[in-house]
Amino acid sequence: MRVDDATSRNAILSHLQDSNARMFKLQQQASSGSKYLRPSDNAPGYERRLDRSADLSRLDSLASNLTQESDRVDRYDSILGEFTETIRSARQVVQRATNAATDPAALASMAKEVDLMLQNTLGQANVNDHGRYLLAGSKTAAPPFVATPPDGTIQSVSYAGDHSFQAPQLPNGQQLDMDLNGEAVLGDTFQTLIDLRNQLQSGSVDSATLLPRLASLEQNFLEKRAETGAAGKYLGELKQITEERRLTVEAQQSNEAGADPAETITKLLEAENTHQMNLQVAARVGRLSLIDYLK
Amino acid sequence: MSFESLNMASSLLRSSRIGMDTAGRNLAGSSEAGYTRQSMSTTALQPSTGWNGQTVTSGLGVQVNGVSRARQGLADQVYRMRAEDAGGPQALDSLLDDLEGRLSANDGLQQAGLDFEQAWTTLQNQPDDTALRSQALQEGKQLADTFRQQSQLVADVRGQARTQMSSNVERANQILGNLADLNKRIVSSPGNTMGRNTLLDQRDAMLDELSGMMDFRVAEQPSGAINLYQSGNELLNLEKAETLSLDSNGNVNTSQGRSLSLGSGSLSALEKFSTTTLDGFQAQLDGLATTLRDRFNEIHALGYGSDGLTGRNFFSGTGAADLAVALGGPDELATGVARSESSAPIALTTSTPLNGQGAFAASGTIDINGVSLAWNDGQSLDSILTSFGAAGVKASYDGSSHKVVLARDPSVAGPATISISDTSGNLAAMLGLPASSTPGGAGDNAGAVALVQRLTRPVFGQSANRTLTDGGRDLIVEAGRQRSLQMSQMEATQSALGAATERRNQASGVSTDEELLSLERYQQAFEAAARVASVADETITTLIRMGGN
Repeated sequence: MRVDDATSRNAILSHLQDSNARMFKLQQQASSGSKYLRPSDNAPGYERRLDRSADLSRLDSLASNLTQESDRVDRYDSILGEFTETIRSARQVVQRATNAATDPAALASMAKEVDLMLQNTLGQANVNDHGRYLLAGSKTAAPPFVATPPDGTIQSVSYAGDHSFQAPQLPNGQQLDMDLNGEAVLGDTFQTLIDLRNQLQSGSVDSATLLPRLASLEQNFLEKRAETGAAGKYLGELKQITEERRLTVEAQQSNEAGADPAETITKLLEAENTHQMNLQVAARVGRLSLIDYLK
Repeated sequence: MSFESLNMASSLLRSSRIGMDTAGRNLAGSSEAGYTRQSMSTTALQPSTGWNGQTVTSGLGVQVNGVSRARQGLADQVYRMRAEDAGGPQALDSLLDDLEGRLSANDGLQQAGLDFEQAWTTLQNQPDDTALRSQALQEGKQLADTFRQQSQLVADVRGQARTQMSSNVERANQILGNLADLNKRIVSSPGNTMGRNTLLDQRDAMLDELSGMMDFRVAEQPSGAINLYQSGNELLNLEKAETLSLDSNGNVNTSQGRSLSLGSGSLSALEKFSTTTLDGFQAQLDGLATTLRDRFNEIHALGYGSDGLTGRNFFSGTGAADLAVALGGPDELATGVARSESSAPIALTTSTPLNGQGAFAASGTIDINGVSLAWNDGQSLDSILTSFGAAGVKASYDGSSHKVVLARDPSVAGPATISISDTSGNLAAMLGLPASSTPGGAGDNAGAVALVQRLTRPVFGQSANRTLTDGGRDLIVEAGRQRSLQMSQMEATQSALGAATERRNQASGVSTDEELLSLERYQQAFEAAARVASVADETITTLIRMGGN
């Protein structure tokens, strides 16, 4: 086989280009920490990388949403706890009023106490969390409970919200089984408190009627608290599962698309050596001869 | 020793000088692209009659026939076939690199789709949050912008391919013109001379270049000129060259308007890339954009914005190139739906048959949004409410407030509102349901929930089995596959072309070592011939002097 000058040059150039390209790729892998820098490096591998990136992004978003929803459920739980305490206090008032039925001053004082409870409960029922009225169903832009008269002694409270409570949404279109619209939560709490106050003011408390009503309200609050407690627990578990899933996907992503630093550096050193050798060969073969000089 | 010796020495001197010239020319041409090694051919001189009338049969010397190129027709043919194969992948190299790089930048459409989906996923839990509404609107605009950018990218790459084709056609015309000129000069130049060999080298280099662009057939004429044919069209006939042109459809036509069937090579690859690959990408983009527009809009238009209005599309445009968000502000995002609920509490058991439950002991039909639904007293309220789903209404019973709550399900086609009338049986009246609905409040998320489900369900792609983000990912991966295929084709064809070049160079290439040896050999032959001439001259001079004495 004849070996001409061009063949030698082309072979050397080809080797130099190959080793240079390999070195460049390994340098990019070492600096980016990723095996696949472009889809064409490994289309199926890149497809898996994109899927896992999307999974990670969705899991991040889900974790953030779960935290917010968990906070929201905690907020409801806290309000329900306060309502429960109010109702328990009201029951104690009824019991005290029954015992001190003959003392008008004591009854008047208790009436004031209940009126204060009523106003506090109204405040809690119209609680606003970041511009959103929590107990208004879907009508979160306006206070759900309206007192009549607006100023002075409350004679009645009406519900201006609706019965479309927005329970936290879960992945795959599921949602938590919770109904915390104002009417469902408070029932006739306001009317019961108004009745109690009015009876205290009139000096005659019908404990036989009021105590069962208050017990029923307390039971309702406890049931709603059980709902929020279960929801909070479920959200917490879901958050933990999400975090575990995230770690798994992250590990898969790292195994699949991540470049092992030690392996990459070793390969890079090897490629650099090869390139150096190719350069030396090129220098030797390409050294100018006398004829080249004369040309 | 005679006068013939002087003739022999003369012929040797001449052939040695031409040999040295040839070796020198080869050395000088060793680094010229397209240069073909040349070699001198000689033959022994035939017997002739000497000065004394006798036949001279020995020591006649050599005759130089000429300087010929070391060229093998088969090697040229193989090289041009390989160059044609390599031309396509080579021409697409930068185009596919650009397409892949820009489609996959920042994970392209997949990330934009994902951001949009996540903005709505967050919004569905807090539809009354103005900041989240603005973000969802902004992500929608970003998504539409990404569609437009990627569509523009395809158009840009198509423009680059067109420019490349146009420049190839222009170059092909130049080459054909040059070949016509070379034909003329080759025919008029004397054979087997270095001058003619240089012209032949130029011609071969041009044919090599042309072979990277298209498939063609060369027919060499006895005069040394060539004709070129391509798919039955005569591109070159001696000194007459065809002028090719590129039409708007990417066809390469002759001056008579006949389209060339390009076979392989860069022109064919560019034409196929424009009409198949890029059209495919554009169709995929348009498919995703129109599906997004239609499937998202059909739900969005049935929902209510926080301003209490309905009937608005989220996206507008005819395809990926002009997809845009049609809304004016975050209040117009249809996160809510039409709702109705009982005006007063209803006292009944929902899971037992209506029969016997007071006023509900009856039967009849109720009309919801034009859909007539029959009910009877053997049914429970739960089963009746479930049947409302056929009319695009989700119905539930709120056990705490004892009210029936209806919400329009936007995933079912129909009017945006809920219209109810009792055809017979007074069910609506008994449930306390109003004749018409009202928009949900600011915290109503039923519209947003339906939109998130639409985004995360596989309704995209030709087989409607992809989500929006899957569709975006498919585009990126497809670009990667195309690029990967092109790179492996380029590697394979370049390797084959390298082998063909090597094989051709084995015959045609210049080896400096060989030429230096030849130079040495011809130099020595020249010195020897000069010595022969000198000896002959001295001998003859001596003989003449002796004769004179």
